[in-house]
Amino acid sequence: MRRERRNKAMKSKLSTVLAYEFKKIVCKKSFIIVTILGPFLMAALILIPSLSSLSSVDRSGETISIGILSDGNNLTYAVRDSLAASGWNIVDKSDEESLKSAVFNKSIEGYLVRDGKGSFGYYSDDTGDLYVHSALENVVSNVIISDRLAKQGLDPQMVFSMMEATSLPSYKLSQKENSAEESDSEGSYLVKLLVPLFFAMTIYMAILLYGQSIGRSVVSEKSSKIVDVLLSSVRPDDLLMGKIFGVALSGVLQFSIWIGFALVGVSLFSKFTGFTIPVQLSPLNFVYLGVFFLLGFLLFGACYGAVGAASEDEQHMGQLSYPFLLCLIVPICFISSISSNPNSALAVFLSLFPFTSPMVMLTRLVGGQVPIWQLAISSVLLVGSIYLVMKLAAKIFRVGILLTGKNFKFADMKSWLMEK
Amino acid sequence: MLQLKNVSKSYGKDFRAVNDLSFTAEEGAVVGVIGPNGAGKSTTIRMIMDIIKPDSGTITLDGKPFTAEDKDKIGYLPEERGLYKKEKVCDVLRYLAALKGVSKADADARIDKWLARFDLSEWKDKKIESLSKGMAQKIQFISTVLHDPKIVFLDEPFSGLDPVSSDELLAVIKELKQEGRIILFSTHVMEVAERICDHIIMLNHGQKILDGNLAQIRKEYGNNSVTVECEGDGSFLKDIAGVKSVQESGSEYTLTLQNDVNEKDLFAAIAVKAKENNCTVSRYMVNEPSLHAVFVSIAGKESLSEDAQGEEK
Repeated sequence: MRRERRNKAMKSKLSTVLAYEFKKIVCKKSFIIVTILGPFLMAALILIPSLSSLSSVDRSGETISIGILSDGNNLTYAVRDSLAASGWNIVDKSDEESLKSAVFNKSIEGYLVRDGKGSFGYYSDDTGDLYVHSALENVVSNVIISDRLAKQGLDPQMVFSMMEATSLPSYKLSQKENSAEESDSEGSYLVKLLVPLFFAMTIYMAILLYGQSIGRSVVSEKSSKIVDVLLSSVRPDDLLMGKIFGVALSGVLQFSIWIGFALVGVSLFSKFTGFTIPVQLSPLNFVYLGVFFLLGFLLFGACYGAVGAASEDEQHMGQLSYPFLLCLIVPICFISSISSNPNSALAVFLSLFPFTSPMVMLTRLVGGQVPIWQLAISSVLLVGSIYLVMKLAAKIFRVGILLTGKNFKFADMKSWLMEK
Repeated sequence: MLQLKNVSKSYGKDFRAVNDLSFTAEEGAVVGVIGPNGAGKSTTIRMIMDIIKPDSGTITLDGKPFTAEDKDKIGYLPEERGLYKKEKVCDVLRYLAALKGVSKADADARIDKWLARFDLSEWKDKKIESLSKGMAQKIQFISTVLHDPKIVFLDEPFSGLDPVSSDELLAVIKELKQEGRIILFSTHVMEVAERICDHIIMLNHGQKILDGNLAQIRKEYGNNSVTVECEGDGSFLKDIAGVKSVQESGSEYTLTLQNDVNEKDLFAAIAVKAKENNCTVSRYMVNEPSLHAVFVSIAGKESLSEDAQGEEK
């Protein structure tokens, strides 16, 4: 009976801390602004560079004027006709000086001159335009190869059709349904890389942003001394947990809003352009995202809480949190190798190791099938280490948070952990 | 009744913060826990509040060990003040009251009452960082008593307050005392302790070196001196029976007495001699030792004996 009452009292204190921390973050103007404007900023960041790079590269719509030095050679004529046939505007001149002046007064972009080795050179004041260069190269080399084939008595048309590359479509097998779905080969590799990268970056950002905010909050309570008052009311464990869960909840809220925005954005985008994302963003993937996000967050949140309690100021906290930062960066570095080979030993190891598993497991899940036993072990290890780290963090918190004016040393840790 | 029995706490192997400390604090009394910086005051308070656990010994409230619920009966004003700077006064007070288990409605009513008491009502919706140091300190004091605590810890409550605010706070503390609360008061300014404490616990190097009420202590540690102010030549004073030595400063003479001298007989003797020497005694005062003097006399001895121990090693 008494114990029950006690538990109830403790629970309500944890939830008081949780509610306060949650409200403190969510009711801030900056949180509301970032949550609403964030997706638009993100979209702008992704769209603007890709739009501008498209316009500078792809010029297939326009008619480009090119000069050619006519020297009476059959090859030159063949190049000229071939270019004209594929929609180029050709200016045919017999002296190079007038071609040069045409380039400088912008009536043509450049001109071709046959060299002594049976090929052509391209002269322009802007040789950096890759689109023009590669389009010209294509036409010129086709003409030259056809010419060589013809000289050997072969039919260029026949040879080209025989040389045409064949594609190798890949099919993703799924154990659940007895069907093999074609994942179309073109671009699918890129998307396969991008989707896990998106998930991993989401987790990475969330942990970094919100984990550090837990650490900062602990450090500031410690340096502003309010922690003495708080600890006279709440057990250190409850204070730490309330903080972690409160901040985690606000993080989940913000990222749910963002993912909601992203889903609406993508569905609108595909409605207007007919473009679909060729990877199954199944509801299950989002469940996994949610679960691993939360677990990863709690783990790193506890770490940052401990680090915050052990540090003197934010700068000191930054130094102490390097190991965790490293654990966050490693999966990002290996993400392309993991997503292209989701069952390699490295991928399996990193998806089981608790400090990297949230990100890596998601990458593997999106990329292919993960054996249930690995999922189970990974989750159990993660939950187990969350429990351990929270216990440890609460201990460090309990002792470290009251020590001010003294720099943290690893040797001290041992004596802190021995504290009852 | 709050009772500590043989409580000890060490940090690491070498540093004993509190050593075998025992004392009791009764309802309706102000107990001053005094001593220099590093004497073990904060550690003692933190152990009572269950922030840190003692290595040995027991701490009981009304004969029972402390439970988690008892935390709600304690109000604590730490020496180093701090509140969330970016938050509003009422939000911080509500949060701290909620942490002590006060319902929202109760908290709001009490916040209004206390803010009015300290003339701070207009600051209710202002941010903490906009308050002056003295005002922030009063807000923090309010947070200490909002939940109607049975035990109140005040660690240097007067530091940084102007005289008017100090008197305001003193009146409130006296009220709390009359309401029958246990008040523990920690300071290293002995004059402040003399003003409000009924009972004194003096700590030095983690050990209790004095425990008693003010009157007892003064009697016990009286340094047997009187001050005489007289017009005319006071050189006769040193010849009076029972006077060990005389210190002269202007017309004021401080007489150090032998141990068994009665102050009343002495006064009679001085009056007679003064007449003979054509002197008028304008003031006669029996000196009560200040806590400061008591502390210096005890702590001074302690540190001497420590040095001696050091040499023995």
